[in-house]
Amino acid sequence: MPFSSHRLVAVLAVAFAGLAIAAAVGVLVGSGASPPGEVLAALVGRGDAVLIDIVWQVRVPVVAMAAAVGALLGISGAGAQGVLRNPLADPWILGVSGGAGLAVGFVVALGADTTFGAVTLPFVAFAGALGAIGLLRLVAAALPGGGTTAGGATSLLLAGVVLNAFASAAVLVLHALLAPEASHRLLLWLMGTLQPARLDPTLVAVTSVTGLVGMVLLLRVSHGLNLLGFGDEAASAFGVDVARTRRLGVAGIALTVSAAVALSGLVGFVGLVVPHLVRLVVGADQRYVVPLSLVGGGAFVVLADAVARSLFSVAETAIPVGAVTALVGAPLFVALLIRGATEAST
Amino acid sequence: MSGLVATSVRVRAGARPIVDGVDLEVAPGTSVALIGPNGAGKSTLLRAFAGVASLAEGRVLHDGVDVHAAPRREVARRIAWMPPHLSTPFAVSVLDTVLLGRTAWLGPLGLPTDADRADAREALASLGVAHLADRAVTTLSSGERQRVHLAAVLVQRAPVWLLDEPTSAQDLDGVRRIFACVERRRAEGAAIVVALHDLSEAARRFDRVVVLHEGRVVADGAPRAVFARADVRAAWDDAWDTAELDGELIVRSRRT
Repeated sequence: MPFSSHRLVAVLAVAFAGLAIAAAVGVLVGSGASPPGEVLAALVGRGDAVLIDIVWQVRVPVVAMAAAVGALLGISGAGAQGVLRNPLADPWILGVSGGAGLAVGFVVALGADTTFGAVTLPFVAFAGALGAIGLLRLVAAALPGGGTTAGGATSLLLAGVVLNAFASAAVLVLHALLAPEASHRLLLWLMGTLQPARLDPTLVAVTSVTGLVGMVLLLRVSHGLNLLGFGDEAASAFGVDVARTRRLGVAGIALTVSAAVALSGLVGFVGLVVPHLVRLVVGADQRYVVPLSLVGGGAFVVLADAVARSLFSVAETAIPVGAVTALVGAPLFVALLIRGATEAST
Repeated sequence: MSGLVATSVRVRAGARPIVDGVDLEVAPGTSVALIGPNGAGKSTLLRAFAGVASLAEGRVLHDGVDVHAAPRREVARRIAWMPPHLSTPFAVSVLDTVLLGRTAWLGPLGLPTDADRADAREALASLGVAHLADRAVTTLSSGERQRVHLAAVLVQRAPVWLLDEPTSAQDLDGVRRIFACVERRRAEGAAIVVALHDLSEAARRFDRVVVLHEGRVVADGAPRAVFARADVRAAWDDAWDTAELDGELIVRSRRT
């Protein structure tokens, strides 16, 4: 659908309503079977004191955390697909998951994962994710034209794939060498979990600032990403500073993804699936896709987390939210791919 | 001088020269057909003029402004370049694709105005593709896409046009409309360079023909004089000859 700012406001309003509904579902669902009426009463501070505690100390924080992680991953996915000019790109492809996983693996292997308390691993992951993207920029800079020439997007993508493959292999080696208990801690982290109890004010402050700056950068370059889609030279001829747009885009992706990784570990598929769903509804204009992937990503992870928590009573153990997003995301993505390919050929 | 002025332009791919010392001036209100056999360097020369291919040597100025040093936004207000193919993996609407031509004129939020939209629809109509406005650009044929891209060039309102094979995928209605657009823009005072393989169209529709061969300008002048030269034919390995039809020069491929 052709772009207009009125239409953007309208679809954003609908998306926020969807997020609010998802959040309501997230608060109502839990491991205990409390009737919805009682949960709603607890939300406004009435009824059973234990339930009020559960709702306000557990469910509301976990829903808020899921919404934040989903929003960060959703917008970073839209950004990555625009910067890399590839609808199959995902922020993980830029080496983020590999870098964060490897950094966390090393710290766990050294037995230093609680050196600075519960915030140690989140900050290590944050540093690892940023480090991976920094390394990627160095590789890109070593390419002819600093990775900003016609083949720049492809070079960045290939460099990210190789970086991730290398880091994954190194993480596997660490995993094999670790004692069973440490190895389990690493695995849980690699699968992505939402544990508001582990949050501390410093971590929340740092990830809020970096996440918000990253979001603003990606929203700012969203129209530039439309142009990058037509190729670097065409974008440049239309008046875009391609190198700057790509630099700001990569910075935006780095900041949003590393904030998400610090909060939740590796929650996959959100950045891939959500922008695809959004494009299906509103078309491919990045001025729609980038902000709507932010809101839609939030709703997606809130719902995935509600599914994970409602499975607790069946599985009798906590299912990591990252496992749910991958289990739901992978078949959904295949369905979207087939649908997209069918539409393109008719 | 005003208009587009290129001095000693050299572009290399590795050590291999693609454009090898081109001097060319195109004044406002003139249009030039840039012709040459495959691999002559026409596309690279246009990319160099547009500032999107880096120069190994030389300068390209528009009204005294260095195209390779000025901010891209300023260059886009001066020079519109149309590459032979325009493609994107994302299903952007045709109207939004045309509006990309307004990029260099939009405010910081990148929001087109109603006037921009009206402009874009008018440009599509002048090229006979107004009915495609709401379609996704990814669903168009290559000929339709070419017309849409020229519509984007139209709304860019630049005083220099560099068109690379703008009619390569066109039916004769498209050819007619596109050259009518070029002629209108020239009459409004633009400096225009069109790279072409259709030598008859070059002879019929342009007052000046520039022949590029192995990265160098080998002829520059009125079509009849240029097409009569033996060294120009030799650049194509003597693959064509000329004929007269209704007082117009026709260039046709030889049977043998």
